[in-house]
Amino acid sequence: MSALVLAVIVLAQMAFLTVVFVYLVARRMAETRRLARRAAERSRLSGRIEETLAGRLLPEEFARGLSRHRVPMVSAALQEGAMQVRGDAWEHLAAAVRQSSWFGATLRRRAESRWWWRRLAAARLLATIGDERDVPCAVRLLGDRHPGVRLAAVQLVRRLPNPELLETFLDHAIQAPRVARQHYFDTLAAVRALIVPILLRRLGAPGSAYEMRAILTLAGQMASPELLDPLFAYVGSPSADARTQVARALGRYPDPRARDALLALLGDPVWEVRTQAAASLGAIHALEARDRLGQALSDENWWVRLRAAIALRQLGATGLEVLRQVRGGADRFADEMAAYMLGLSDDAVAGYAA
Amino acid sequence: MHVLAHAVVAANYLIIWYFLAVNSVYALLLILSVPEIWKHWKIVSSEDLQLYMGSEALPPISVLVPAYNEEASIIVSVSAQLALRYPRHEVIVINDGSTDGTLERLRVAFDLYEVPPAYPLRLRTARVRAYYRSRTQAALLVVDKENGGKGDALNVGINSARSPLVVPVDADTLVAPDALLRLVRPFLLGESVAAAGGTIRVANGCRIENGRVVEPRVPRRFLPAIQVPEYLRAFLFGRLGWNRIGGNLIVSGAFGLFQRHYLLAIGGYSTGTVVEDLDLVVRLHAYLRTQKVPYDIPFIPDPVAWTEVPSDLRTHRRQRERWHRGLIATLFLHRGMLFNPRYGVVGMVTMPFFFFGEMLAPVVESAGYVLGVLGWILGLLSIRFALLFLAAALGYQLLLSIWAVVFEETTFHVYPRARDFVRLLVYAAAEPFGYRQLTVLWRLMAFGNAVRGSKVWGEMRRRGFSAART
Repeated sequence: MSALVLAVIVLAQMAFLTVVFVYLVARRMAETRRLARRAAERSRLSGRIEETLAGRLLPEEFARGLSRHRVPMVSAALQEGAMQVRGDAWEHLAAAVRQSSWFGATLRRRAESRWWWRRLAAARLLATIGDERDVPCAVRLLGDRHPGVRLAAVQLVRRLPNPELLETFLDHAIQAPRVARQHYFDTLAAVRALIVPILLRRLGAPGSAYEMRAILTLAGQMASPELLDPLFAYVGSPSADARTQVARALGRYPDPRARDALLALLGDPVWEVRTQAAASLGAIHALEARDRLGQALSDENWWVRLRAAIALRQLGATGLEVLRQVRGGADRFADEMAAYMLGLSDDAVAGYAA
Repeated sequence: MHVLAHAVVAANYLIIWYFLAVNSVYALLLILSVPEIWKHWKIVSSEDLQLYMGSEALPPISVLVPAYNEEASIIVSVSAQLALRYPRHEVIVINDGSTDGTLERLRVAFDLYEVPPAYPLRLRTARVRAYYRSRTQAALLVVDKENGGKGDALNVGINSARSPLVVPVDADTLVAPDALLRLVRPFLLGESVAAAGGTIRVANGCRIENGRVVEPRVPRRFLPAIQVPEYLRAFLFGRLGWNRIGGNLIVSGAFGLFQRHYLLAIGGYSTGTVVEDLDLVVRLHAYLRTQKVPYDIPFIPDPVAWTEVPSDLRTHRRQRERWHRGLIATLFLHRGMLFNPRYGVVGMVTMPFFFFGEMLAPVVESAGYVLGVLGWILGLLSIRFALLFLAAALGYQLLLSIWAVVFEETTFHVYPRARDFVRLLVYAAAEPFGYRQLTVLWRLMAFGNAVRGSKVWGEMRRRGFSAART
């Protein structure tokens, strides 16, 4: 390497550094003014949303003015408005924006963009003001190849409770990894009335074991009385995983039949099923289960003993009595667990149960 | 004399080629970090974290706080961890045989009472003396144990944790209120995450109220201030760059997230190392690769934790020497992974780079200074060439620091005050001149200590957050 090459490198570095320095300083100086301009623009936009919602400005007039603003700014303002206001006034505004040429052009360009962050913006916009006509677009965004877009598209279900969209949504949810799936399911709680018929059908004819597991979890989360009978069909399932899931699901159903099913599952040969059954009996405050839960304190598995002890604490005075009886008894494991559970505050027990 | 002259010239050329190779990798990391920061920035902007707060989907988290003689800051720190915005999290404080009043302060502040031990002991640890629950904070568990070091304390925390995810946090680290919500984002995105790291920033000089950084500032004093661009560079492009190729090797011990069952599977933290975080992540990579588990260990730039960095030379020297000693020991311990295709990108790219580009860097750099002078004395090296080379090397270093400031300014923009911005630029520009050579010397000292098998941490003198405005 010659000195000349090094000199060129050093000069290039110096030139580049100077450019970067100048850029940073200029950006800093411009940033203050830009932020002030944006804050003013945002405030104007929010003011116009408020005026529209208050009836002082026609929704169509508001929609016509949107092209003067930057799309992310409009999107953010609408998102904020949607979070704060619901009802007819918002729907009129949303319908006017949806009808506007601004929306058509913006959504089309963004939803079909090759850049994922533009599709992300489309998903966020649709989740705020989309309607039935946008279902095909929403279905596409739900299956987007970028996880960030899919995550944003989850909120579309709240805005567009459409059976076709829900079916697609459920299929994606079932295939998603555990935490993402749970996030999808949480969103479905907002459209319970529409999802229950779909669930009834799928509980009757589950596909793979993976799908069955997911459907049972969702059925538990929905806590809808119509789903109770189909759930009972899984109590005697040969799959331990299905029995565990149904034990968890029944913990959302404070019903005598659910209690009896859980008592049966408390005697299951698989410890995961027994653990879940004990937890669910506590969750539904099954006072009649106190003796069986007391026996479960001597279970060979630590987790079953722990969950039974927590369940007994959840039963209140009745459960406490059982724990006190076990305390100091011949069974060392039951004694240890009872001692631990009796030492916990109510808050700590609630924390455990959660 | 003739042989010596040849040797000096050859060594100088070797150093130049080393410089070129290492800096090419840095340049590549820099390029790779751009789409990564863009990805995170686009998702983060206008993300509604409130939606996640009400969700049952977020997995419960156990925050593990190992504490050894932390009486000055433990209450502020634990209160801040308990107040983090997250739907389900517990805080487990592990008092690692403190000889000061750490446990007593916790007992009084949180109204602790002893509970019987009822935790399956999956990892072997030093003896646990007692478990305490709080009458005022249901989410708090305090474990008192005999001293066994940070790794051992964290293993007790892993044993006691009830959640599938654990987040080890240093007792002298302030986690931003929404950091946990941000840290679990990869799970919501459906990624197969084994562990994830967040950004560590410098807390010195910031305005802190109730364990929260309410106004980020660049410290006024030289030593803590010069570490600000250093941290920015390490996190905002170093780790983001490695993210892109799936070769992230570090999840900071001060703030990171791990799947608990993987930690149990690899036997938890090693107790015989001085950089338990690096060792843990290397073993995690090794385990997951061997088991053929699809996984990712991403660095996520927006969850932030603030840490107090050393503000005196002696503590700083100890810290840097220990970090480098730990790096040497870890790379030596896991040398079987070097250039081993069985470990994929980690074995073929990251580990070799850490070996040659990070571990050997102080040796080569100091050799460069010595040989440069020797070559000049012997009349073998043109002074013009030597100075140009030095200028190019330092200029490159400067460029990396300034680039980290560009990232900071164009995305997170954490320091809004103009004077902080100026300080940031000044310190980024000053870093290659003097400070860098000092850290090279400290890291060089680590080789001797590593050969002697030193496991010494050295006293880490902290001023505490109430006095951290320096």
